[in-house]
Amino acid sequence: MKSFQLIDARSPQEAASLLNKYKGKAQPLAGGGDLLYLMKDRIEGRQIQMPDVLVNLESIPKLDSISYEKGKGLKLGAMALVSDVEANKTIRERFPILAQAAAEVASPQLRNMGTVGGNLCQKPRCWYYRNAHLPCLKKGGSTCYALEGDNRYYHAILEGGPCYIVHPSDLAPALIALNSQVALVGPKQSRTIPLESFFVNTKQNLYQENVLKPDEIVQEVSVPEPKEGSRGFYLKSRIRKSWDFALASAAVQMEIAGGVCRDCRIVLGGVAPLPYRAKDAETALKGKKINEQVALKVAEEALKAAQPMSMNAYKVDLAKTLLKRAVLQAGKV
Amino acid sequence: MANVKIPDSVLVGPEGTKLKAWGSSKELSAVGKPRPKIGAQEKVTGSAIYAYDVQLPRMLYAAVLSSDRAHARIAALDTRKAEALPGVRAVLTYKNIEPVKWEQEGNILRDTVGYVGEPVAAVAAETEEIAYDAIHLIAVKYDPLPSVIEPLDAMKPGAPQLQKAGNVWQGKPVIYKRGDVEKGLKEADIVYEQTYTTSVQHHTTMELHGCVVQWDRDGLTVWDSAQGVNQVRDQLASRFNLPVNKVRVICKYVGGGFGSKNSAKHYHGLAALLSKRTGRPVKLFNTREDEFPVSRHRPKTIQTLKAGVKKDGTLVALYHKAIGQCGPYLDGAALGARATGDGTKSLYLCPNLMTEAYSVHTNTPLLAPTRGPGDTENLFALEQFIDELAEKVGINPLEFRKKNYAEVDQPHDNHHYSSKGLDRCYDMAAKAFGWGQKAKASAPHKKRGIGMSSLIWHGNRTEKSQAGVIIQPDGTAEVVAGIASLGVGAETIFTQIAAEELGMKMESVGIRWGDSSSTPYTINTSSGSRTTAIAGPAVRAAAADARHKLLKAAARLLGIKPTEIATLSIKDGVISTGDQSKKISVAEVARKQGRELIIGTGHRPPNPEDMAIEIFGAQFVEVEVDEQIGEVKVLRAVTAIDCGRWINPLLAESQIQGGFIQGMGMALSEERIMDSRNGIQLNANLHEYGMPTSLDVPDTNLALDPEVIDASNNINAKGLGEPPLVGAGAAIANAIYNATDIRVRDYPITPNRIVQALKERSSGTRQG
Repeated sequence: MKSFQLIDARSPQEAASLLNKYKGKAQPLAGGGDLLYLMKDRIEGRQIQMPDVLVNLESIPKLDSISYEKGKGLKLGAMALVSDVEANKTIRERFPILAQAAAEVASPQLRNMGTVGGNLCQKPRCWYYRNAHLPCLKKGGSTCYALEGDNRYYHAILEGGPCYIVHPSDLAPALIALNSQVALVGPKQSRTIPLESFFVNTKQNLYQENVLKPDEIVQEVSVPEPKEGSRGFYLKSRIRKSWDFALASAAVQMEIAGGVCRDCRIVLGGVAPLPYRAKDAETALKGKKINEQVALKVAEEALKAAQPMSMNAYKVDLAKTLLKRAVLQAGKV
Repeated sequence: MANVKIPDSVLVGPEGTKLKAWGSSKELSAVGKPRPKIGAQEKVTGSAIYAYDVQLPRMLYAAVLSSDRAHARIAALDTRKAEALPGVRAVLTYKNIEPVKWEQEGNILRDTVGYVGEPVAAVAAETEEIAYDAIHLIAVKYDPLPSVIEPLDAMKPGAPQLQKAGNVWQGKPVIYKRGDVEKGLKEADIVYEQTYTTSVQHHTTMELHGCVVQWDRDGLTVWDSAQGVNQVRDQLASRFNLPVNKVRVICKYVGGGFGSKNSAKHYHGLAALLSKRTGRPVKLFNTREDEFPVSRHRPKTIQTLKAGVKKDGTLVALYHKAIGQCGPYLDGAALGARATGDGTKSLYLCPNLMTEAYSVHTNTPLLAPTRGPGDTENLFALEQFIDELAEKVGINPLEFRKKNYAEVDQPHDNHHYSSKGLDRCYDMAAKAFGWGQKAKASAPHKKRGIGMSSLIWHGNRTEKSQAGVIIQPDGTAEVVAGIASLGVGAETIFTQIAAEELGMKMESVGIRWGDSSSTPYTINTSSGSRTTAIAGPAVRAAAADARHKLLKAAARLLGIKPTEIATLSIKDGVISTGDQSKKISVAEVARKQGRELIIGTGHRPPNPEDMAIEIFGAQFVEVEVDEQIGEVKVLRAVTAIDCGRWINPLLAESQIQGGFIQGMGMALSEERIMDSRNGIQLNANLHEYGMPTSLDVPDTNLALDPEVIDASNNINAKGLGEPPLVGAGAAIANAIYNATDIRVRDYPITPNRIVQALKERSSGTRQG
């Protein structure tokens, strides 16, 4: 691994100031599962530099907290461990979709290291991007190797182009389905935005998967209290039963009364460069009585814009099945 | 099987005596007993010393720069920046390395590269970090040469030719024939043809490949992670032109080999030359990414099978064509032409048969034996095909196999087998499994299925082996064996064999192994599931020699004539006459011997000439499939293996369980994914190369002993390391078909393949 300087930050603001001070040469370090992996593999290019400085977020007090206030909702510090989210009793009871998603992340060892902020900010799993020998488009080269190469697993069927990554996070689809907000801290000011608008696709920004400025960090994710009768479900498909990213995943959160969906949010993971909000599918679900036929229609709507690549047409069917099942599961009273 | 006749030729004992033929393991005291593995506690607690743990004074760390081109000539190579980096002690490239011939292609480093991952330069530095920084400072300019990655492309006219004989290894296929296939197909009621593919499987050993080497005036000492100390020693001596007594290879424990650590590879040579250049010990271990090309792999294959069967299920003709992918060089290429192996030729009675195997040179890494090489690829295809044939004629797959049972070894002059317990394996595994009963799936969208496969693995050929057994002055015994411990427990079972012969308790027999300078030549390397069957008989012979010498010494002490020592026996460490009138303990004899130790030596008698030796078995699995998302869960596996006598049931069970899991990985998730444009492996890491996790393995993974006593050697064993992998894949594929009516003929059977097949079936573009 390339050698680097590690600086302990004492507050989110100080972390942002340090990033500002070493602009372009520094990266925030959370669990390290992804960042150190990229550094060990020396993944770099014209548009992606390996950092000389790592700003340690673990030294910031209380950034790993998980708190809940009835009526106001849940707050997850950026450094909250994925395993803590998975095990948290309140989350299991009141935000089960989030606990389900957390339980699907990587392996137990990695969940013990991985953080909420790190999970949301991880880099894509495209194996061309992650190959040190190939100067792919996303690293600043001129070719997307996946377009005519092997795109069977971790490439887009929706919103792809000019780069065809998919967003790998399990937490993001669940948190967006829960209508979460994310608080970002810069050296001088902070801002809070819907988590959904935190992510961008590769047409908006080829080199970065979110709107974080180089001197900003994620401080906190806040999840509003779900309305009465709100239910959620997260389903993920992968090759092995553990330690695999999603081939596709589906997050459904909906309010139900008398078997009828009053409101819902539907997000797909592993299919697009960003967690994919399926608004047409939501429209197809709202006001409907949940049954097999409606669930199928919802799935069809969600994937109707799909443009699979040469080897991943199966992911359309996969995502439809997952979404259909998630709708039926969430709708089960 | 209890009345099997063991030929006298394999029971030769010391000084004209004859060894006792062992009966059922129930009658034995040490052999057949579950002795816990020697070294297990050390491994679990972390105190076992592996090559990676070796730290020597003034040791340097090495790193290797490997090629990122599939085929290229090195146009320019600039190492000045690397050499200038503080802490770098040596940089080796083709320009400055001494000429050491490594493969058929020439020197260990050359000015051309033929696959991604081929070594280009090696650095030795004061720390591992400096060594890796240094290799990234080496500037290489490549002139590309025409390359070809896929075997079918390499067989097309106009493809770049990688060898003088062309891209087909040796310029022609390896062909085997008996009878007349065309005639057989004409006689058949049903003719069926199908094509299957298998993927590259890697060894993925937990311990990386590498060694610590010290080359000084005393010669070359290598702390290695190897399957055999002798083969690595011999190869290094030969390549560096050193006397054999100047090369010492030490390897007590190995963190996994599976065929990848049999021989001296590039890293041994580069570490040795760096040590020679710097005059300091050098540690060279690969990165995990480099492991994939360095360990090499099982070839991917494309196999077509065609058969003719009678309506009653009699197999009358079988044709098998296999194309295997090998690297650009001759090294390892033979392994690409082994998929038409023992399974097709021997497993079923078939008068008209032809096999045709092509190993095709491509610009991909080289092949190495990978647990069950050849037969595994063979049976993954053949045993699916057999199920398809059984369905065509409407016979239960198990009955179809029994109907075409071969009592003799057809490709080897119809010799009788030294033992063949396949019928017993079928019956006992089917019974334990509950063959024919399909359980109800756990959810409405899931389906259950059952499947089975036969397995075969070629038994050992005659080889020489020598071992020693020392009776120490306190009456304990020590086996001395020139092996490395591959991890399967050979050293443990050797103590059991010696204890049985000596009439001593297992606990009083120890073993010294893993150092080429202090052990005899017991085996070159532990490959081919041979160690028990090759070295075990030598250990028994050595123990018999020690026993004979012990009895002679005891006879002197007890006042018995030397001609009457046959009346003495040893039980639980006590030597006594038949009427128990005179006794003396082994410890007492040993004490009286003092420093004049009793040293037994023994060698392995040759195999009987008129017997074929093959290992057989049957594997049954139950799966649950969620076909809409392509998810397969193997719920149960039952494996019965006729490997001859089970010397240690505890170790036999763990071999079978582990082997099944490795086969399951190949069937369901393990696959090298390589970009066919540039030869770069896209999943050269343990995360994306899908070895099974603990959640993927079946809860029930049962191993059964058919209690076969084999006639080919004095311990009645044939070998077990590889067989349990061989039939796993087809059994799983057959079970998936039984569950879903979807036949996926390409391994691994990953979710994309199942979902795609389901879609094709529902849209009518696919049948079955």
